Parts: sequence; structure tokens; C-alpha cells
Amino acid sequence: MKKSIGAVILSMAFLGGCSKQDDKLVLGIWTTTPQEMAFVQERVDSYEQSTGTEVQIEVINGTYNDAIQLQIASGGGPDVFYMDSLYLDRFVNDGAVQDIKPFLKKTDLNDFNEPLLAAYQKDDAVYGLPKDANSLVLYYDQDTFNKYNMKVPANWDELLKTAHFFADLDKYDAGIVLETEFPRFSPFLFQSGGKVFDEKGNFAFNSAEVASAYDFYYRQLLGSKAAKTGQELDGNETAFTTKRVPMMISGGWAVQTLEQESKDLNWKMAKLPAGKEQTSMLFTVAYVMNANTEKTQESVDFIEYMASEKIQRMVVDSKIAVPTRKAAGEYYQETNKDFVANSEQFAYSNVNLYGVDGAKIHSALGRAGEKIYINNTDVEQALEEALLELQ
Amino acid sequence: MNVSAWVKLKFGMPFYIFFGLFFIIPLFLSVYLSFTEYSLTQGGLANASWIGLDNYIRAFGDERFLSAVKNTFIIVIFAVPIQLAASLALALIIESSALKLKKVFNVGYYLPTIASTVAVALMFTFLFKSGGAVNSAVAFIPDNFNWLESTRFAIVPVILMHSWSHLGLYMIIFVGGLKSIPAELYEAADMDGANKLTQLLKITIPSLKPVIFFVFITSMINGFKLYDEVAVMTKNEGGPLDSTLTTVLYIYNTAFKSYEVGYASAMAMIFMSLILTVVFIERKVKHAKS
Repeated sequence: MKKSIGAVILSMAFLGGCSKQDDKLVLGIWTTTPQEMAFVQERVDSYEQSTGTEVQIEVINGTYNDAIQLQIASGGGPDVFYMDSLYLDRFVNDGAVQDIKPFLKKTDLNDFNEPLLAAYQKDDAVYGLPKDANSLVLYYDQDTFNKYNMKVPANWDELLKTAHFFADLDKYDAGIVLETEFPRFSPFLFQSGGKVFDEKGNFAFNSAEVASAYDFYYRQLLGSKAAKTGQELDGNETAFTTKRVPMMISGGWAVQTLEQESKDLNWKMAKLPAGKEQTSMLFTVAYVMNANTEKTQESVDFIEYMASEKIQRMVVDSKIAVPTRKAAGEYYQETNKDFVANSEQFAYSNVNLYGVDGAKIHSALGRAGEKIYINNTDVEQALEEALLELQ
Repeated sequence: MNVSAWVKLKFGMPFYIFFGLFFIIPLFLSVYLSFTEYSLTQGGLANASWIGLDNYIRAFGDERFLSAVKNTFIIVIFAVPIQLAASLALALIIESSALKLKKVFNVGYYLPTIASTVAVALMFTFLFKSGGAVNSAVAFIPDNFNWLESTRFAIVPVILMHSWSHLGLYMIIFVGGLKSIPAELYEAADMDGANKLTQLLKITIPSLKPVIFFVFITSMINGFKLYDEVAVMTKNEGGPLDSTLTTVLYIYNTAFKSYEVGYASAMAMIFMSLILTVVFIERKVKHAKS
């Protein structure tokens, strides 16, 4: 009997130990393309060669954030892992990530783009070093614009008129392809002069400004033939690369796909058309340190290396994203002249960050847009319902 | 305890250990968590704070939860009869003496059960999208109608996908049931001049009653548990506007996206009680009839 129980316990201990080798530093990541994975592997290899520290990469695709939560709850998890800015406040609030500032040896924090680093700073603590970032930009088909002698829209009025112009040609499925989800709409919210929170931290999105943004995006654009959703057109990038629409709003991350899949499309990138204010949305991911790790200094050393200027220059060459360091940013401006719209927006854009309940806010504000677009709900009513849901 | 009982216990031990570890303990933990405020990012369960019945009170006033429960019942009400009828029909065809290449059909019909959920969900997304095969095949549906963007009709592809993906499993169970019916019964019926429909109604279906009940319960529970197909089809949202939000999907999103494991546990407890009640009533009805 004792032997049987002992065997079961030993087996479980063995199974539990299989996921992590104790002598290695574990990096938890997600990847979207094989090229990105190869890029991470290359950087990790260079770290291993230069320091002798072995690093195990744990790739979690699909349900990354959920898997990380489960690992943390069980007292484990990767020593260092990717953290989207949207979820950081929750992890900090619950003590799941550690302040890395006391362990930093080489990093000059002043070299980081301020809003991006600020997203990972709480009071005097630093919870992560942003590895790269992207803003939402307008992609357009240069040849089509030239053919019809159209200029790239610079504001809401021009965007609406241009989208209608192309839609009315009956040659395209729509003038522009958009998404209904909140992150894609969010820059318009801020462009309207509206806010999600007021200065006291109370919800302030049920305002006339925000209502005007919802009306413009979900009713005037998506509610007319000027725009269609990615779902209607087999996906944003597919619709754009197959010339079913001459304009698309997406992040800088689309560059790699467009370069690979649109050989016969002369596409260009422009800043987002402005509303009352010129702004876009910044999406960033940082390396953070697990509060459960026992390899504190090794983890921070690794984070410093992975967010170093040398590595960020490699980010620039890969065209995956814009570097978060100012020095590497200058290199980006010199070498990626066609994509500077992405990086130039960093100076005035908002970071995708809404406090401890960021994911809930995303969901409620996204549903408000869907109510307007699908159910034709009154804008003010949709916003009021979102407010009730969040309170 | 006599020797025989001790030996039985020893042989049953692996099951008891795993059942306890992976079912009984999590169940009790879930009951405990349902009375707390807790998120996984807080770490161990010691960090959960006791809030009494608040989660339960909140759940009964949560429109999204009630809407998810309603959607789940709609799916079960439509999918269970479809699955029962279609899988029984397939089993009868497979067992028909006239059918050749039985094994090929057996494997063919079973394939959806083992197919990847992602592949099945993508297939149905393509079938029901604007300009998809379903719109092309059915004359009165406009070609540009997008089922998955309609709050009223988005649940239709979900019901059909769920029904289709489990057909093979239930068919195999029915085939097993059909094989256990003595051939003499049919021979006697033939001699008495009973036609095939009479044989089906008077011999096959009465003989299959226990199997039908088993498939009915299994299919219903699978319907209540529906999560993965909807998650893939609607990018984890249950949209548009919660029209395909199932209870398990909402519970999952509450635990992992809203970081409210305590509240999610309370909803899971309520839903489990609901399922147990339905199963209990069905068993009572079955016993009363028999």
C-alpha cells in the first residue's frame, strides 16, 4: 500500500518537474509568426553565449494570459515573461510581478520613450522594460490613390469622404476595412477630445465628445457602405492585400504580413486621420519579472539584455515593431523611412492601459460600439449601459 | 474489513486517488472560492477574501449570466433532438444489411468527433459567412447575409456545429445498442408480416430505450458544457452582443479575463445545480414511466 502511494507521489513529482528545469532561466512568451520565434531564439542564443546563463523559452500561444495566471496561482510560472500593458496594473495590484528597479545595473531609464516606460512604472517602482511597441496607422493603396487623384485623408471629414468616394466606385467592397473591437476604435475616442477617466479616476466616457467618436466610427463609417468589418471581408489584411479595399487601419505589426503577401500592392503607411486632437493608440509589451522567481538578479540581468539598445536595433532590422529606446528609435527613423508614421505618432499617442479593470473596460466599451453598429442603439444609451455595467 | 474488501480497495486505489485529486478536491475548492473574492494573480488560495453570499446575489442579478444560461438552454433544446435523431438514423443506415463499405462509412461519420475543434469552427465560419456556401445553397437567404454578425441568427451555426461535431460519437453508441438486439425478434416480426417502420417502432426503439436515455443525458451534458467551438468561432467573446455567449464561456471569461475567480466559481455552482436538477427530474420521469 505504502509503495503504491509512494509511486503515485513520485510520478506526480516527476510530471510536475518536467515543465521546468531548475537550473535554467525560463522566459514565457507568445509569438505570432515563425519569423518572430526565430528572432526571439536568436536573441536568447546571443544572451546564452555572452553570459553562459541557459534560458528555456516557454511558448504559450492562444491563451497566454490565462496560462500565466494559472502558473502564478500555483506558485510557479516563468521567471521572466511578456506582459501587455493592458494587464500590468492587475498583476501589480495583486503582487504577481516584482519591482525590477533595485536590481537594474546597466539600464538608463531616461533612454526609454516616456509614455511607454510610464506604463510600467507605478510610483517609484519599475515593473518592466518595454521591448517594442506599435501604433495604429492608416494603410493605403498608393496606386489607387494616384489613379483617382485622391490625397491621403488627414482628418475625420476627409476619411469619411475618401472612404465614400472609393465605396461609390462599385469597384471595391468598401472604402476602408475596420474592426468593431474597442482597441481599434479607441484612438478615435481620444481624438474626439473625450476621456475614459477624469482627473479623479472616475469614469468620464459618457460625454458628448466620446458620443461623437462612437457616432463617427460605428454609425457614419461602419453604418454606411464606406466601411466594412474585417469579419465581413475575411480579415483586415486579406481584404487590403487582395485589393477589396484601398484603406485599412491596423498596427505597425501588419508590415511583415503586407511585405510577404502583397507583392503586387504598392501600399503605404500614414498617420491616423485626426479628430479634434491628433492621437493614435500605442500597443506595447514589456519583459516583467515573476514575483515567484528565485532568480531575481539573473532575471533582471536578462531583462536588461533583452531591452538593451543592441537588441532593439535588431528589432528595427526585423521590422516587427518600433523600438522603445530613444537611441534605437533614431536608428529606426533612419532605416525605416517608409514606416516613420508608426514611430512619429509615439510622441502624442495614448498607451493601451486602463487600470486594474482594463480588460473589463475594453469589453464594455467594445460592446457599446457593437450595440450602436448592430442594434442601432442610441449612442448615449449604449454609453450609459456600459457605465452601468462597469459600476 | 475482510481480505476481499481490502483487495478491492487496493485495486480501486488509483481511481480513488485521481478522482479525489482531480474532482473531489477541486469541487470543494470551487465551493469555497464561490464565497470569496479572488483572482489567480493573487497567488495561493490563502489570499482569497471571504465575502459570504455576495457572489451568488450578484449572479442572480447579472443580465449577462442570465442571458448566457438562456443561450445554453436554447442550444441544448435544439441540439439534443437533432443529435439523437441524426445519430440514430446514421446508426440504422450503418447497420442496414443493404449498405456496403460499412467500415468506411463508420470511420467517415466518426471523423467530426475527432476533428480539431479549431478546424471545425473555422469550417462552419466559412460555411455561414457572407457569401458562404450556406447562403449560396439556400435560395431565399441573401448572399451577403452574415449569420455570425446577426444577433438573432448567430446561434444557428453554433447549434449546427455542436450537433454535427458529436454525431459520430452518439452514432457509435447506437450501433453498439443495435447490435445487442436479438436478430430473432426481427425474424419473428418478418414472419408476422411487420414492415420495416413497424419493426423500428415496435422493436428497435423500445429495445434501445436505455441507450437512448444514455445518449440523451450525455448529449445534454455536452450541450451544457459547450465552450470551445463558440470560443474559436467568436474569438472568445460569444458575440455578436452575447447572442452566442454560453454559460461556460462566460464563466471562463469572468475567471480569466475579468480576474474574478470567486464570482466565476459562484456561477459555476449555480449552473452545476441547475444541470443536476434537470438530470434528476429526467431520471425521475424515466423511472416513473418504466
